[in-house]
Formats: sequence, structure tokens, C-alpha cells
Amino acid sequence: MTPEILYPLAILGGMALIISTVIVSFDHLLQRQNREPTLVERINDLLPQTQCAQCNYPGCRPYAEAIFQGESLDLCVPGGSRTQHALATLLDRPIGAQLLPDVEPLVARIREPECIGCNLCAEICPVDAIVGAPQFLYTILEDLCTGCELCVPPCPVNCIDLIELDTA
Amino acid sequence: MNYYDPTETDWFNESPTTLLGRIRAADVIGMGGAGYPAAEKIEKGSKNAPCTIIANGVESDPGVSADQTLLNQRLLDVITGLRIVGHIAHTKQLHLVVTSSDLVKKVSRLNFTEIKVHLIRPTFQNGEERELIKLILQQQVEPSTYPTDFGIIVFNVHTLFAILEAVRGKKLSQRIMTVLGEDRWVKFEEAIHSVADTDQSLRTGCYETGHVAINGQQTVPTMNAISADTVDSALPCIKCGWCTSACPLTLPVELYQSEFERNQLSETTRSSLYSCNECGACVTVCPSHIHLVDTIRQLRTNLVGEELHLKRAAEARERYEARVKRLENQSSRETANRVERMHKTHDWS
Repeated sequence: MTPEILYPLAILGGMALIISTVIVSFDHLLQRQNREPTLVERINDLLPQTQCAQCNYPGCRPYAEAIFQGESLDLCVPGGSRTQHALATLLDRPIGAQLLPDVEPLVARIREPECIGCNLCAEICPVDAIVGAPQFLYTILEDLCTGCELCVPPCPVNCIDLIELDTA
Repeated sequence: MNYYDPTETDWFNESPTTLLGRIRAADVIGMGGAGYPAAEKIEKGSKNAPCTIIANGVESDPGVSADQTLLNQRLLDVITGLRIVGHIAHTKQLHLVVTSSDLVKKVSRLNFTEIKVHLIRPTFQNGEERELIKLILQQQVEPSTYPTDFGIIVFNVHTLFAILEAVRGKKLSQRIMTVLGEDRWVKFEEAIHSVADTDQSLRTGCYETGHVAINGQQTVPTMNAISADTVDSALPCIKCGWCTSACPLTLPVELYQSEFERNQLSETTRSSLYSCNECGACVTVCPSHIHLVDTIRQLRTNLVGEELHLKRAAEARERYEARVKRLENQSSRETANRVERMHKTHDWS
């Protein structure tokens, strides 16, 4: 290793190290936690995150983006009037054609003796709130369940009930 | 002592530790409303010598005169309680705050030289301990600190009475309450509706700041009154703004009422609502008889409920985004595996 090769190699190596550190820090800086949320993110934060598509958008984030483009605020059924008012306050816009009814939060519960372990409910749950193993018992973690009702149609034995959170 | 004192026990011969033990054993709690354990308050205050003990006889709850009646009936007991606390905290800085000049005369006739008597107006918030300390000692106790941090121990006069009973070895079983305007000795753990002997809706404490009593609710030491829940039907809010003017903390009460009716909370409301100490000044002045403290309580419940919803939604969103990422990785891995298997089983050279 003659000095003519060593020195340029060390300099290039040092520059590579510095540049990669800068790039990685920028990447971390731009993470959600380290910067101000965008308006679309603030809108999405007010939606109940059930990912149920009752608003006819494929999830809450697409609806949030649509609201940002001017979509009406009265489409989110699980959010109810609470979400409608929160959005209207944030965006200083009218609440829309109709005031949605206030919804009580629901959670889903499996009637365990009837469960056949088919895994179809766990596959579809948008927040992975259902745990279990195929051919064994499945259960819904009520702290994580958003009450989106997406697990009810796929169940072949129809053993999932939706119950109110207060009495759950 | 150069006079006959019928309430005297020989507490001045007992050690502070023994006396504190008796106060703790009798479960004495603050009877001014907050119910803080008395023995703990004395201990905390004593750590920051030199101590000052204040007997709070101001009672600024409108329409409530329970403390006044106690001071008229048992002045010597209250003073003895005050002196006992002073003895435990090793201090002779004793203050008694009252709102009637008759009481001032009575106390001075008893000739306790170490007790300073103060006469102040029973206006709103003067009975609140930090306001009181500002008036009496000209000292500001900041919101993030407590009076005991500065060696200042404030006790309601009823609490001092309970302390004396504890030192005598007795646990207090009754106190004076203003029941529908009349001061009476009321036993604890009795049904409120039978104490007041009525079926109508009642509030514990005074009307302005009290909570509606539920059926079967019982009397407790921190209750200083039982009042009628006046069911004058509330008239519509006329936006006179008297509530905002009356608020001692200059909170925008009229804004709270208006936003409560429209169910739309602004930033101003969200940030200032938690500062309200429910003193009830706004309720007193409202010409439409709206119970504004009830409004504020409901708003706070709604706000907390809303924050809970937002927190759950944020958790659900994070789980959803994580799941989407997991599925994407999974499908791209599965595709890669499938392509690899295809290359192994087929002869595409």
C-alpha cells in the first residue's frame, strides 16, 4: 500500500462515510415523528381508521386525500357527528349536506364454541386485531378492534357479534 | 394557662409522633372539600420549617354557613386543634382567618397571644388556599407547587376540629352541614335524601359548584352542604357575557356555552377548559339560569372522550400501515420464491 494509493483511498472513504451519514439523518428527519404533519395527515388523524370503505373510498387515507381535494365531510359513518364536526373545525368548511348520527363505538367478538379455525377473519382484519392459528381457536383483541365489521361477512359459520364498547 | 379550658387534653405533653399517629389512626381528611389526608399534610409541611399554620374559616361557597356555625359553637375546639398542629410542626406562627368581626372579638377575649386573627371579606375565591395565602402572608404559591412546599399548612376549621377529636382518641362521626339552608350536625354514611327528608333532586355542596346527588348516595366528611338542585328551566343563552366578566380566572365562559350548544370546540376552548376550577361564579350571575359549571363539566368529559378516540384511531392507523407494509413484503417475497422455484423446475437454459 503505497502512500499514493492509501491517501486518496482514505479521503474517498471518509467522504463516503460523511455523505452516507448525512443521507441517513435526512431520512430520519423526514420520518413522521420528526416533522410537522401535512394537512392530509392531520385530516387522516381525525378519521376513525376503521378502513371499512363505507365512504366508498378504499380506506381512510384515500378518503382523507379526497377531503383534501374538496370531498364532502359527511361520508364517514363510523366517525359519526364527532368526526364531522372535528373536520369542519379543522378545515373551516361546512359539515356537508347531512349531519351523521352519533355512533357508539363497537367491537367485534367471536362466539368461541362455534369458531372452526378457518382464518378468514384474521386475514381480512385491517389492523391485525384477530389472533389464532389455522384449525385452532381465534380471538379478537378488543383493545385493538375498531369495529369496522369487515370480519363478519367472511365467517362461514357467522359466529362474530358486534357489541358496544361500554358493555363489552 | 390562666383560665379554665374544658377541651384541654394534655396534648402539649405528648410527642409530635404520638399525636400524628392518632391523627393518622383516625383517618382525618381535609373537610374543606378536597379530602387530603391531614397527617400527611402536616408531615409534608413540617419538612419545610419554619412552618406557618392557617385555620381557614372563610367558607366562600355561596349559601353555605357550616363553618361559621362550627366557629360559633366550638370556637375553643377549633383553636385547640390549631395549637395542636402548631405543636406537632414546632411552630408558633398560627393564623385564624374569619369573616365576622364578632368572631374576631371572641378570639381576642380568649387571649391566645400566638394566634393572629384576620378578618377578610368572604368573596369568591378568598377561601381558596392560594388566594388566602396571598391575602394573609403576601406570598404567591405557583400553580406547580403546593403550600406545604413552603412550610405553609392550611386546614379548614372542621378539619382542625376533627384533629382535636383524633387526639382525644375519637374518630369523627358527624359534622355540621348546611342542609337546605339550615345548619345541622349530620352523621356520616347516611342517605342524603333522608337527611334532607325530601324526594326532590339535590346537590352535594352548594348549588353552583355541587354535583347532583344520586339515589342512595351517602354523606361523607368532605360534604359541607346539601342544597336543592333548583330546576328552574334554563332559558336560552342571550350572550350577555356576564359569565365571562364574573370568572375570576378570566376564562371565556360564554364561548364555552356557545360551543357546547353547537358541539364544535375551538382551540381556545380546548386549551383553556382545563384551567376552570369550578368555583361557580358564572352560575351565580347567569340571568338565564344556565348551570354553566355543568356545561363545563360535560365539555371536559367530551374532550377527554374525544382524545381517547383520537388515540385509538392513531394506534389503529399505525397497525394498518404496518400490516400493509407486511403484506407488500410478503407478496414480493412470495413472488420471488415462486420465480426461483419455477427456474429450478423448468429447463430454461
